[in-house]
Amino acid sequence: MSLRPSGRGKKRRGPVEAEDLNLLPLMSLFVALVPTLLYSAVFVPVSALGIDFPGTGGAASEAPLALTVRLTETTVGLDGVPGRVYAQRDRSSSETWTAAMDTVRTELAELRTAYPTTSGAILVVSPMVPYRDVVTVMDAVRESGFGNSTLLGAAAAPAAPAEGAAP
Amino acid sequence: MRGYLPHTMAMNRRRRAGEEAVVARLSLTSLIDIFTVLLLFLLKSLVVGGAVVTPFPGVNLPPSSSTASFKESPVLVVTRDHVVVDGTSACPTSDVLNSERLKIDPVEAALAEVRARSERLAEKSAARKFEGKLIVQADEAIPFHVLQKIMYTSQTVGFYDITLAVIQK
Repeated sequence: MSLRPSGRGKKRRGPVEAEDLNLLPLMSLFVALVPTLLYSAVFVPVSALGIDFPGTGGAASEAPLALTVRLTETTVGLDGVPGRVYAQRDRSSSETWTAAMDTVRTELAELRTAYPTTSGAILVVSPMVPYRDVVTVMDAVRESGFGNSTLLGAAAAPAAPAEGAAP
Repeated sequence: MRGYLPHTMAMNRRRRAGEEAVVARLSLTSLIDIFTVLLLFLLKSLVVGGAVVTPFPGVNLPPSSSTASFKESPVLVVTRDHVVVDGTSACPTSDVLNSERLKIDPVEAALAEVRARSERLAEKSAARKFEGKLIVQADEAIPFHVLQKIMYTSQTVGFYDITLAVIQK
């Protein structure tokens, strides 16, 4: 059995008006926070890419494996791995450049498995290679776990040796 | 929030007894909604720690997967037209490209001035020691040869710790 109040003693009142929330302190906080955050926000995320130079104690200069990535205007490929010769892949068009970099990434991953403790790679770049492509190769080296690249400028393409000349 | 319209006090005096006062209520809820969304967006793009580097106007930085942050350092910018050292144009980029020498004299002079300024500041405050750090912002289409000369010149002045600025992929 439930006991319900009869409601006899209740006074009849008008509708209860909802109390408004005082939002002014919250507004003040937002007005202070928004300019502060606007000042320190970065809408284009720019990050740092470290490089080593020859003779400045780069990891590649002390590594037992002299892993080298050669990047020219038309080719890219690995070098400096004992007992193995890598083909220099054609990169003269955007399709071949993508394919060549996929191959280089696979080769770098294989090398990482074979030489897990080695860090650093030497990146030999030809003079007219765009900076964008240099960063792409540096990314591939870093992502495969070899760390920062040591940048070296390649000399201009040597003239083909004359027949019979000493190598 | 509750507010009274202007002149309502004077009007109230004139108002007859029993007549209700005119009350204007400002609804801040929608404004708070906007601020909340804005705050969340700004919190997401907030950089905590490290120096904030903004790309120089007209320079397309190359994309990279690197996420490392910068340390406070002078900035050298290589646009398609000019080499800018600490906000001042040092020489046209074409001069660097066509130079037969690795060392570029105007860039060297500008960097030497930056170094001298850093060292003068270091004399006054030990916290601002010259550490040879330099941030290089270069356009993605710049040939490596230009960059090589710039980096070589920077090293001759004592900026051995060079960091490249890239756009996060």
